[in-house]
Amino acid sequence: MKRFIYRSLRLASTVDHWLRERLTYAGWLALGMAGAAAAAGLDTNQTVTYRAFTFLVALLGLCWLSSLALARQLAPRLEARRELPRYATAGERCEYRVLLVNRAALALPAASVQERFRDPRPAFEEWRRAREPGEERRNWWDRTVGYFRWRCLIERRVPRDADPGALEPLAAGESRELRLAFTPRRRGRIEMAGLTVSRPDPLGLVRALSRLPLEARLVALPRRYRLPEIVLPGRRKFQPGGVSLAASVGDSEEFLALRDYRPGDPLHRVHWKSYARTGKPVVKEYQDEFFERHALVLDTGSVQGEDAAFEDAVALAASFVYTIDTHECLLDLLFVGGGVRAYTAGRGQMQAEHMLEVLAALAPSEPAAFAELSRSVAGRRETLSSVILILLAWDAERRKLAAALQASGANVRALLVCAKETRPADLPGWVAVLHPGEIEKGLAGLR
Amino acid sequence: MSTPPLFIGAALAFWGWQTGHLVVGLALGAALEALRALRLRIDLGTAQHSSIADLSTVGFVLLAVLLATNRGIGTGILQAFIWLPVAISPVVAAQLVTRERRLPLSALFRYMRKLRREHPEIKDPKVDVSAVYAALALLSAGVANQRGPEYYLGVIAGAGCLLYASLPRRSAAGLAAGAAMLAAAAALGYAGHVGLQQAQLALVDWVLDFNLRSMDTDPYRTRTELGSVGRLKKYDAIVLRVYAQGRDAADFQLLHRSSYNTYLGGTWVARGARMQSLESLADNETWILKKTDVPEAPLRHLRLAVRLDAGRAMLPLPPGTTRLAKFPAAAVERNALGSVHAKLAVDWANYETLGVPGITLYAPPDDDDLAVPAQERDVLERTVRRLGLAALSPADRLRSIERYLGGFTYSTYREHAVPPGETALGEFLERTRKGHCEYFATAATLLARAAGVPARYATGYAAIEYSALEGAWVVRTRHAHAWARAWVDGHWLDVDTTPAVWGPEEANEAPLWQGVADLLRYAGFRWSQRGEFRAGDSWYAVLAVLAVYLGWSVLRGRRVVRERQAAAAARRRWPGEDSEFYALEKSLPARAPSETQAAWLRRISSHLSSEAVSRVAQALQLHQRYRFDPDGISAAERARLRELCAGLAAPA
Repeated sequence: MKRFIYRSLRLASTVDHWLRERLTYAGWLALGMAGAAAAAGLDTNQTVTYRAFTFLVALLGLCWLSSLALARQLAPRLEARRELPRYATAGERCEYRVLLVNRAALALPAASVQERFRDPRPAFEEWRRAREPGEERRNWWDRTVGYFRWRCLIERRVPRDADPGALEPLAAGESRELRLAFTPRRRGRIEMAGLTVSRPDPLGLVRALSRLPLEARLVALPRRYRLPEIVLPGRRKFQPGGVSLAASVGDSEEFLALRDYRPGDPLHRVHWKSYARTGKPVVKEYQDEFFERHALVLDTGSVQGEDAAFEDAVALAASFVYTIDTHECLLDLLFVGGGVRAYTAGRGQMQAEHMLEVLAALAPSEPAAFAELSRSVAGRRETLSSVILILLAWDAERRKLAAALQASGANVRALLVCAKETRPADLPGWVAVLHPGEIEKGLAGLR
Repeated sequence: MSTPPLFIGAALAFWGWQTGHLVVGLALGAALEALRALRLRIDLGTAQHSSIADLSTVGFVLLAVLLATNRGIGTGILQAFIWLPVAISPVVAAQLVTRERRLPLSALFRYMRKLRREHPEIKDPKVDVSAVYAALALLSAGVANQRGPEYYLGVIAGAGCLLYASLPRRSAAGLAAGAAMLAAAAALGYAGHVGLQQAQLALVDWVLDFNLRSMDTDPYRTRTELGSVGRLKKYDAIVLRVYAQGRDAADFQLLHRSSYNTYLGGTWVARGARMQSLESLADNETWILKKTDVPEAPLRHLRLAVRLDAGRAMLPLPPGTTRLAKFPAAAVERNALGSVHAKLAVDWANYETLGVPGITLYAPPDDDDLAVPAQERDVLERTVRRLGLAALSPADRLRSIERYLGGFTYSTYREHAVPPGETALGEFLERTRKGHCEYFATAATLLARAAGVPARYATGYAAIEYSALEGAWVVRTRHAHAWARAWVDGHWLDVDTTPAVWGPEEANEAPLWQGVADLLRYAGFRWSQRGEFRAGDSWYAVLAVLAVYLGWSVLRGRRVVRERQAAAAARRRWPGEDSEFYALEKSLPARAPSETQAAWLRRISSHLSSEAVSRVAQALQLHQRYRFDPDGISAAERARLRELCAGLAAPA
């Protein structure tokens, strides 16, 4: 049964896409009226709207046939090159240029050029296993049929507002630059399959299509919020990794003195020349490394998939990554994604945009996996000056982690992202609560 | 997609012509075109457009419900569709009086409004619905079912105009190609709709033929289930209600529908019994089935309500019915065997029966009523000989047959097919001795004939279930029954040989939910018996008051301005944008971007005369009030600002 539903949804999507690509507004009007005429004229003895139906169907059929002939005019070799930006941002309009060159001996008539994205239809297993954000609140029928889940999966992959660009007639050998744009709906990878050049038939109902294969990929970074001026505590901590981790952050590697060897000193610190001169082992002594190191811990445990709270938590993390200046400190990003993942930004390490790329591909994890993340954070608490916890829930495990971090002397700032109705009753005052849709309002109250 | 001027008016006039509401069409078209030409504009927002669209939808749905209630669902919805252009005209009118001549798409779809509340980033484009409206008007015109060629030509002309208006480029070659395609589509469409209608006629013929083969309401033939393996399916739907005094029930237990005189291998046929139309009396409600000299009397106060199938029914009638009363049927037919067929465009037909005792008024017997089929002859003659019927009087022969079949068992289940070389009836009489009413009725009819008593096979219903809820005898489809009608002593006599247990046995198979289902059936029946709702003057007055109130509530507080003012207001992106002070500022030494206008004036005052500084200061004060004061400035002050700026800018 599931497979039948899946096939039906797939077929409906195919038909819908086929029609959307080809029909103009006038074409949609004709098709809609043909449908209405058919419904009203089911019994040809009761009404005469079946006459309008046959006329409109004939009209659309002829226009479609003529569009097939017109498509051959558009077929001449057309070369295209995109100039894409390095990144796009979810929710922000992404504009780019497309250079079109007519390599054919014939002129290309005026046409529209539109971006074509890779087939976004999910595979059966993906559709079956996926959960639409908030799906548990849908009724039994919607959950069983899974239409909204299907639509959600498709919309994730296809940006919105990908408007066509108007291409003026292009003489043989001539080139022209067009500006195209779209708005990514969400973070993640956007895959483009090519460009579609189209032109309506003489009656303006059906478009003739010609496809230019031109694959490309673009990463849409998570959306970001404007953060208030947040002062992170500047207490420096001893870093066992030392300079190898951060060449010029904290105290630089500095030779202090020579001293007698004490059992346990590493062999590579023996100063061999002094040893030769004095006849007893002498070792070099360096100043310890101390610098600021902050941790951004992102709770990815969500049973409701990539719902608004999860997406806002990722957006918050991206905002911190983007805002915290890592010239003078290090920033660790920790989360669960098939095991605990830790990335460090700062001099000599990753740059902020790389961290944003990581966040762009983040998916929810099992809520129980937070314990693992908790252990990992607790394990490095001695090196951390401050910890920013971005949480999706407030339970015993999370409470325990916050308490352990506070006990270690680290400055802990906790932000809980949850819907208004799921706000925990026992929340301490120092945990800031942010609600999806009102994140900026909540952030304005942060100190 | 917009419409060319006068197109909406033309479409509505065409709608009015086709639907027979020419005055309404012309008036509405003229009103909408006048709104288009009018220079006044009303600043309606999304909320107002949404309210208007919602009210129009509610109005249309109410109309559809009202019409569906009065005229049946299918007809009612089609009738409502005719009035669609009137019902949704406020939406188009609202669009035509707004400055942009467009309305937000979300105004038309509540679901989109809900989505936008949850996801404000969803676009809400402004759309022009005039083309959709005009197309709907053309479509609604077709529902009026004017069968001439005008409708088709009107649709082609309308489509041509709309397509021409929507073409972005109009080259001669393109127009010629478009015209050729339109002509070709018109020709193809014509061939298509002629073919479509032929196909529907063929389909209807086939379906009717198929249905008649299996329906029990054909007055010419009935196919029995003799020999069918498995259980005979029976249903609980109520098809007839009989209102009578309880004590009369036994007298009309068998309600006759059709009789047949010829048995052909499992099928009974009414040979030589053509249906003949009857004429009603002057009151159009009384139908004489058979003229008689015997004084008629109300037949035991019988009133019947029968369910019609697509407006047709074979009427169940008690024996001896000679007249139908209070029956406003469109047509009534009867045949010589007593079958009465009626046509009436309702779901349930009510009628009263009058008659005389006995069933002498149907056609007397002829040779067909004594015919015994060759296949069954041997077994029937053997049974007649075994029962010794030849020596008895006709009445005793019937009693003997009744007694003989009374020893058989009632059963609706048959385990196996008829063995080769035997007939279902022969097996019933000599081996299985069990079957349902069709076995008993066929056996009784043919045994009577074999014994020399003319007999016919009669079908109808048995009224054996009294409903206290309804205060009536309810007859279900499973109460369909068959019996023999025999000619004894100069009159017809109903002979029901099926064991009396058949009724209780079938009642035992009723589903557990029958009580609840009956309640719903009764509710549905009572609903169907209501009269048609007719709106009087008071209703129209209430509707007019409501319409005025709704219009006032939607338009209340909306600003009505002339088109030119509306356009100027639309051009202003912020209050005071059209202040002449900006031009004055440009004519004086430049102001730094970070400098306030007051600081700028202080800085440049050394370059200006004291009078000029004073005038600029006055102009600045007025400009800032014009720009930022929520109350704005008066017309005199506005004129003063203009004058000050013009006076200062001119020398520069």
